[in-house]
Amino acid sequence: MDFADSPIDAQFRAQAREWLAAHAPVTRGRGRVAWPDDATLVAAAREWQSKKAAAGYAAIALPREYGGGGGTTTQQIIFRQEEERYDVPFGVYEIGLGMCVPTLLALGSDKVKERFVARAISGAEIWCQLFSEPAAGSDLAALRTKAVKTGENWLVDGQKVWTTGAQFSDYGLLLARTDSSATKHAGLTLFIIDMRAPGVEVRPIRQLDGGVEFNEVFLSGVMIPDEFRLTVPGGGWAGAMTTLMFERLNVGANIGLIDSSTLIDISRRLETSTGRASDDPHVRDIIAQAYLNDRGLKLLTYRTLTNLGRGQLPGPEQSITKLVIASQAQLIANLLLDLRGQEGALVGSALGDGWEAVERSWSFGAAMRIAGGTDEILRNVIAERVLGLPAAKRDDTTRPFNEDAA
Amino acid sequence: MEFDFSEDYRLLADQLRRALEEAAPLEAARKTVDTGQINVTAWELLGEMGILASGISTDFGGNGLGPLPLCLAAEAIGWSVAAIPTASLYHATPLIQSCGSPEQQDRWLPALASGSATACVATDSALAVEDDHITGVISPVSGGTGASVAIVRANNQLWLVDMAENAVEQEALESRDPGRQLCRITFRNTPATRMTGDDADLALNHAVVCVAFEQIGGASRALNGAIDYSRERRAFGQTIGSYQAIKHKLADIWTKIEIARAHAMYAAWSLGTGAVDLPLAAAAARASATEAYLFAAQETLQVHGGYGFTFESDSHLFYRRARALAACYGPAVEWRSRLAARLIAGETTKH
Ligand SMILES: Cc1cc2nc3c(=O)[nH]c(=O)nc-3n(C[C@H](O)[C@H](O)[C@H](O)COP(=O)(O)OP(=O)(O)OC[C@H]3O[C@@H](n4cnc5c(N)ncnc54)[C@H](O)[C@@H]3O)c2cc1C
Repeated sequence: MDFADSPIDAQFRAQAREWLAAHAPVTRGRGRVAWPDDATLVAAAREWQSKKAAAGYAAIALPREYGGGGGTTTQQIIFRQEEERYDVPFGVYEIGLGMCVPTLLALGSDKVKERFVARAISGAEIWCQLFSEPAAGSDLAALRTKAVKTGENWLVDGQKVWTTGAQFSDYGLLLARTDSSATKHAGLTLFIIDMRAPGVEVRPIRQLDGGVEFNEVFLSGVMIPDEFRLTVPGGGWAGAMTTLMFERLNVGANIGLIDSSTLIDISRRLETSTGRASDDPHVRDIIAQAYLNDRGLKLLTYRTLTNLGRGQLPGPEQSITKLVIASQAQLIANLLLDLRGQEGALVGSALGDGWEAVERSWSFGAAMRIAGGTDEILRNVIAERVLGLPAAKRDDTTRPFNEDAA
Repeated sequence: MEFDFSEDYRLLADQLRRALEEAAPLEAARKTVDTGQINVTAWELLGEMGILASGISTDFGGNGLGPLPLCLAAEAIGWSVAAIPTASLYHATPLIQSCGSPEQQDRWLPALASGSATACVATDSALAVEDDHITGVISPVSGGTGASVAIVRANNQLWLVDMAENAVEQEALESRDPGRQLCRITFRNTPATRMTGDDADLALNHAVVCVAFEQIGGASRALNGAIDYSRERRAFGQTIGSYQAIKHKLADIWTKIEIARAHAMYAAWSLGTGAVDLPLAAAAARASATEAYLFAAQETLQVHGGYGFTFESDSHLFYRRARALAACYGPAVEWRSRLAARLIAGETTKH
């Protein structure tokens, strides 16, 4: 066993560290900066992204010919570990660079790659993912948005929902049904959609936490040129699975939730009616349990790095992370808020230093148990793909979709 | 980054598991529940494979390979639910190695390395000592039955007692897992020799890291059995493994085992390199593996339905052993509390 970076990676880390120290915004401790509005966030994110792009840190594992860093996934993770220490604008490019661009590289024509990849990496264009619909979330293949071929174009009608970042995105990956008479999974096709095209209407959805990060997207007679098609007609399911695989491989992506260190930090300073919170046996027990989980996940990332170093893909251990971390963030946030008694019902900004991050985990922890595969679906995935248990019997996959949906 | 055992060790782990599956099949573990007999074949096998000698320096008949082979063996012992006096291997041997006088080491380590002797640690409460003679009762002691030598605590020091002395009495106790024997030892003015070191923590941490591997091995075998069973057993026209209540249960067990394994692996590294973070790493490994095995044993039994409650099924073997392993070296709540205290005090791991 050896925890050291390889000499090349160590050099990479040292350079990244030095570069970040010179260029990243000031460290502001734990918890993310709250941005007053989208425009400020996007402007800050764009600036940060272009700085990173100029230095080769924007998309470290993507090829140089498109403006990527030409490095390895390991180096991508190393950079993230270092970048973590700074309060950099976060979230705007995650979907584009983590999921959309790898999909374009895997499935797109040369023309598509040339047109889109470099601009996505430099931060000039922002991407979103239009998969989920009101009647198709976990059961994504139930989606109904239709794309019909008319001459050299496709005409799209339908509605997407929960589309993160649609309000400031330039392009999106769109999964649509192109053949309703085929079976559920066989009638889908994956496209690139221009989010500024006529007929695209983005309506923000107000969230539990008051934020408006995701949207409903109404599509009425939107034209998509055939050259924006990423899979053969009917091949969209496999294409979408490619995208979701990249989502899973997006190792170490920071979802900004609190962990045991926040619990320790705050409970050490917090006086309750029965004394210091960190002296309470129940609090101590949760500290221990939370540490076991998040330290365990960190060690599992070491295992992923080990696999990557051996030229293997990350193993199934990656599916554990979100499953464990999101519900735990809820648990820790609830415990901390509970310790504040009646005050715990106040908004985070009224609770003092560090409490906005707690409040964010209280709300966003709930979201992260749903986004990118719910806890329940992740357990199914572990049971079926890792442990080899049989899939549930279902009767929706063999009939033509239009018979099922009727 | 190489967070894994070396290829040689991975091969050794494989060999150990297969050899112990043969020397200590689950059928033997079931018999042990009635007989309380140690599995001598398995013990000898560990001797032949150099495991008994691995924590012992070459000066005293060991092979000086350090704790890693032992961790791998512990996982295989857990996997086979073997009836082996592990306390001697995990705890007493490293304690004599770290705290024994040269004479004591010379007297006992070669015999422990060859497997001709076993030792036990009976330090849970202090005994009376006068003129190098020990008096008192200590109970329950793990692995005390048949041990050739006992380590006891008196007057804030560790002492070695040769169990062949006349003034010692061992009485077997009835325990829930007869594969892990417990006994009461009575000393009546029994001659003892003082150990030179009194830092018992290293050996204790060594022991709990080994037990963590044993717990992970047991939990993994229990999970495997439940997966097999849930793919075959049918109810309401389907295999039960296609039902989500079963799937999610097994997914949760797997998740706990993976996390516990990661902790155990790190603790093994810490132990093997003498890192300063061993107390923290060992406590994490101990707490995490205890929870994983208790949960796995209990929930995989549930997956077997009524059959899981029979003597014929394997479930009770894991259920018993999980309880026995949770009970040794202090309860899980205490380990979690110790862990929390270290974290609150600002302790961190090296990597
Ligand atoms: C913050 C956030 C951001 C998002 N961003 C995007 C985005 O950018 N683009 C995008 O396309 N989508 C996005 N989503 C949508 C997300 O992928 C879906 O919400 C998710 O897949 C669940 O689908 P659903 O909401 O329709 O819930 P449903 O699928 O209706 O699930 C409802 C409940 O039923 C359970 N359930 C469903 N099927 C099963 C089953 N087979 N077994 C057991 N339980 C089951 C679920 O676990 C859940 O508890 C986002 C969601 C959130 C919360």
